[in-house]
Amino acid sequence: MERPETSDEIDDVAAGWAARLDARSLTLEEQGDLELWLAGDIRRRGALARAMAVMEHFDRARALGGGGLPEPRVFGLQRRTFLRVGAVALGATAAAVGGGVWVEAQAQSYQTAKGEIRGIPLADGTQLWLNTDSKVKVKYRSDGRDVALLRGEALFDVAPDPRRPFVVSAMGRTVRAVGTSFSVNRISGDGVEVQVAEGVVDLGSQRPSQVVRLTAGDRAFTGESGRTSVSRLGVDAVGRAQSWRRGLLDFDGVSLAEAAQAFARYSDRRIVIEDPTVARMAVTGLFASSNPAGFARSAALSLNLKARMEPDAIYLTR
Amino acid sequence: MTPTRERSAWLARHVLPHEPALRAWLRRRPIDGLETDDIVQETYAVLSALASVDHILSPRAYAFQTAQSIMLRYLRRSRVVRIDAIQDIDLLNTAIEEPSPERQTSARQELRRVNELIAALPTKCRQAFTLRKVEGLSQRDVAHRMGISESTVEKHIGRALRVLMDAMTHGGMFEAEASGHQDRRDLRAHGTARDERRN
Repeated sequence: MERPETSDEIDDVAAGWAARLDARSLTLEEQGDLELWLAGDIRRRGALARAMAVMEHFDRARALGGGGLPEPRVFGLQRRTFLRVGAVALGATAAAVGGGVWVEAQAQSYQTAKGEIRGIPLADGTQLWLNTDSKVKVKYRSDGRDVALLRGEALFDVAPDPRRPFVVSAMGRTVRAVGTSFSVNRISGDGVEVQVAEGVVDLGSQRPSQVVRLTAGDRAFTGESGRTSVSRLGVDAVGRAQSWRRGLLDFDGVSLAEAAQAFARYSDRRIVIEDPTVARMAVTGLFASSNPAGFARSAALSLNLKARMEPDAIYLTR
Repeated sequence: MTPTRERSAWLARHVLPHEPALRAWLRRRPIDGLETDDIVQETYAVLSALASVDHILSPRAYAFQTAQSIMLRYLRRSRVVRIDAIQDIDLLNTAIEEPSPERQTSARQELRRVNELIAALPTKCRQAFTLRKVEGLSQRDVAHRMGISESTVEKHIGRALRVLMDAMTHGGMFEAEASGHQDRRDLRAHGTARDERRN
């Protein structure tokens, strides 16, 4: 028997049709294809209706953006940052075509408090994400783009510009990219972790002889001793690990102890597990990083545990 | 028949904001062999096929009731009906009546959330989507500005839309702005769609 189509697969196709319908009128042939597709399963019609609704929803972005609203905060940024998104896209294109003229800029610092996550579009079209309790200093020059990770973890979706290499430094290590997506994490008192989601980066140090090339799906860790180990996580696992930028923690069979540790980065309200058997139990799911209580409750429910809520801690017991 | 643009706008305005609550409600009463995603898609199918929506005073209640009738129809058809599943369904009215924080979402919060979702898109998708939806350029102009073909723009927009559809499903962004409703917040924060699929 044929495997029934999953709702995810239906959504994939529905998104394509919704994009087409939004942009132009369909050709006669396409109209026929669409009718045929819709007739195959009632869920398809629903998925298309929903995709079109999501598209309409984002049309409101324009209506809202131009409505003379009071300055809203966008991840701690002012509204003009939002308006700059459009300009940023143009900037990147212009630079690629015409060479782009870049003005020597002052270094700019960005930071987040514990539990805060910020998305920061940079002037060249690069998207920077700061995880909880993190700080970077960004300096753009005419011949290079330098970012120093002073604390915590950052993710970079780098706009390509071969003339201006993008270099992130942390604890004496440098990560050099041309056009790619990767994260750098200073694990306090421990070392530097680099995860590559897309493209290629070169991991180096002050001594240029030691350069390690990392590709998508790689994780590299450099300890205090300066020794670097590279492991292959796979693109999916890196993507999961980087879902913090959406305010989410994505666990795929991790132990409760590890999950509790992950939440501890975002909140002072700790999840405490004293029983080692409980600590080893595995959880899977997508959770809001700002909500350890919600996580503990779900974990208790699905693993048949008790969650006791105290003001500064949550206890998970059998 | 293809859903009309008017109906899409109505769904975007009156149903989409309640989708996280609807999903949370569905997830709390799992039924073997019936996934939340499937029920949600079928609910949208029913709502998009209605001849008119003028008579619907509370789209939230209507959407919940539609989802409930889809569940009930499925339960009646399945051979083994879990009694507790039926009992749980009686809790529908409580779910509908809960005052929804989404309803109180201000334009400012909505803009913030829309921004967060757009900012999280992959670079090319973000550029194409921003030019098209925020700047309001035609597909042709977007293609021209980005130096790519129109069909590639269409693909980027389609991919962007797919990511946004998923982001709205997870409701992670709704969570970020809820305030003062700890219980409801927990309910939304707990996204187990993947667990269900794996089990």
